[in-house]
Amino acid sequence: MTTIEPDTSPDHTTQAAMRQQITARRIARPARSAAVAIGARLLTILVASLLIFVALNAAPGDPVRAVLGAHASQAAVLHERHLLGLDHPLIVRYWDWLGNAVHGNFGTSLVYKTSVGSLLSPRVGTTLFLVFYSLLLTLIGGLTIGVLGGAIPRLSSPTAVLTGVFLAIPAFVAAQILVVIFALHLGWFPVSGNGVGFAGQLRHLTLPAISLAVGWSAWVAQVTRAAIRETAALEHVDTARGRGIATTRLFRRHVLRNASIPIITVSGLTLAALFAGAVVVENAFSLNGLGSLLVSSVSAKDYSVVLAVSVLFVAIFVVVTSVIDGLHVLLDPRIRHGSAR
Amino acid sequence: MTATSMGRIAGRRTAALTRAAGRDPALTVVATLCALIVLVAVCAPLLAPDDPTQTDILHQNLSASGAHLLGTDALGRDILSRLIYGARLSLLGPALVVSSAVGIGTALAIASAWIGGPFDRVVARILDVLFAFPAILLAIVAVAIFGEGLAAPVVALAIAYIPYVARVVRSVALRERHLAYVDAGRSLGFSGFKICVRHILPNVGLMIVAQATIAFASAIMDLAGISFIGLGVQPPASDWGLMVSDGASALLNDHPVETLSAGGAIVITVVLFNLLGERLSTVSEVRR
Repeated sequence: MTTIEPDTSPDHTTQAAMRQQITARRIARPARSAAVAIGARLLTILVASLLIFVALNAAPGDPVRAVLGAHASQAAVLHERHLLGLDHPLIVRYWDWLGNAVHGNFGTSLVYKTSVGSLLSPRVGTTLFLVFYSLLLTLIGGLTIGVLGGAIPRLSSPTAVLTGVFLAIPAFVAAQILVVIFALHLGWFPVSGNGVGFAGQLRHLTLPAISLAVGWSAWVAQVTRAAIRETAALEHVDTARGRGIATTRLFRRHVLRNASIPIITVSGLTLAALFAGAVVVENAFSLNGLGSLLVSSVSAKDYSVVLAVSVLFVAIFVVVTSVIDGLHVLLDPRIRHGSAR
Repeated sequence: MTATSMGRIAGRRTAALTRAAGRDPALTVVATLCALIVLVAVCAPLLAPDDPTQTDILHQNLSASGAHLLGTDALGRDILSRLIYGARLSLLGPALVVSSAVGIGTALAIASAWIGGPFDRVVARILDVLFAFPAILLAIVAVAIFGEGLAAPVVALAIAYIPYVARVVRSVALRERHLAYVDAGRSLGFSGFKICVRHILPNVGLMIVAQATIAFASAIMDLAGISFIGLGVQPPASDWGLMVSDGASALLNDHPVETLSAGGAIVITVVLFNLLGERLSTVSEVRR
């Protein structure tokens, strides 16, 4: 042993240190790729916000004149533009907007004359309540139907027909059918409005949540059913059956576990889609949420609100899809160890 | 390749499709029903009993009768006629969305599968980013920029649908690329463009049609939703989505016919086109 630096020679590296090194590398690789992934996601949000900002500013028509009316004097228009900072170059304005947005300040609404933040904050709760309520219903309904259809051959075709029809019912059509049955004829739920308090919100948001859940639970059910049937046909399941493993245990340990990855992907994508669906359903039930604010602001050409809400939605989608990717890495050892192809 | 031999191959393909339809009576039934819906839209002036825009203040919200088979709406217009005319914009918008998305998506996917390398990777990355955004949000932002009407949502949805088409077509085109006939074409000295357009494209054609049919069904739902929230088709023009929201106040007063019939038209059409797409994609799988 003539070498001065014992660490460079494998002979001197103890087993423990080696193991430590390997563990460190194992953690370092995902950590670095996670950092890259998060950076890419942030960049996506940034580029999307820049594109929306530039596009909204390039839109034909002058929002200031639209708000002040056609008879406003030129001086008044110029004054208003100056107050809003609209007389600066586009890129400067984007930079200012971005700086403020990072601090939670999304500018002033042209129509409501208040800060966009004060418009968003009371509405966020309604939209989140609606989306997670319907996610819960979607998963309960979709997974139940999907597992039954996948595990019990006799139920396979009936569930296929059911999900095929449900998939074709847009949320706003489901909304009308539900209103006719459960609000007008049975009187169980109100026709529209937000409701006060948790119980009131729960009651008011039940029909909106169900109308969103109808189509998406059908999708979750279809993917679940397909995933279970595909996994059940794999060789390792046959082998396990040949070893005499009981059916329930076989299903739980060998089928459901392998089928869980596509099911989780679909659940995550559903969450992202429910936010988009909320835009339409909030309008169908006259709910005061982010989606209805977005639509009314588009009609009123209230661009600072449109910009804030749409960038917020983009951020939500990006975060949700990143979380799904992260879950994949955690759940699937093939991806975690980089052997997935 | 001469025109006659091209014709013969096309004939053989049609024959194969006819044979597949013969083996699969469900495909024939579904395809016929879909064609009927399109026919109703095309022949609306011949089929509609009344003028869909003729208001009649004395006969508002009538129930179904011999004179008005589905009754009248809040402005006294014949609901059945509005339903029949509504089919036109309800199908035209999605048709424009799908034809442009499929055109661009297919070109991009085949080029990307053929060229490969960095081009393929860049295209895949851009499509991934686009994939993350729900179509309906893109459409709403487009309306904010270009104003209400069918045009902005149609363009936005066409862009949003490109990744769905491109993903599927790319994977199939990649598979075709490694088949013997492509090598044969190359050794005959055909250009890459010619092999792609004349040989790969026809072979994946049925699969693309199947994808387009399913995309058409979901474009019907998306565009109807945009009309429903008031950002799509503008009155006095109308489509089924707008009819659902037009009838919403009558629905609360126990006249649900307009809303429910328009909603039913959407659901039935979407179910049928989804079924057609699924059947066609099964046929295209069987053929390979």
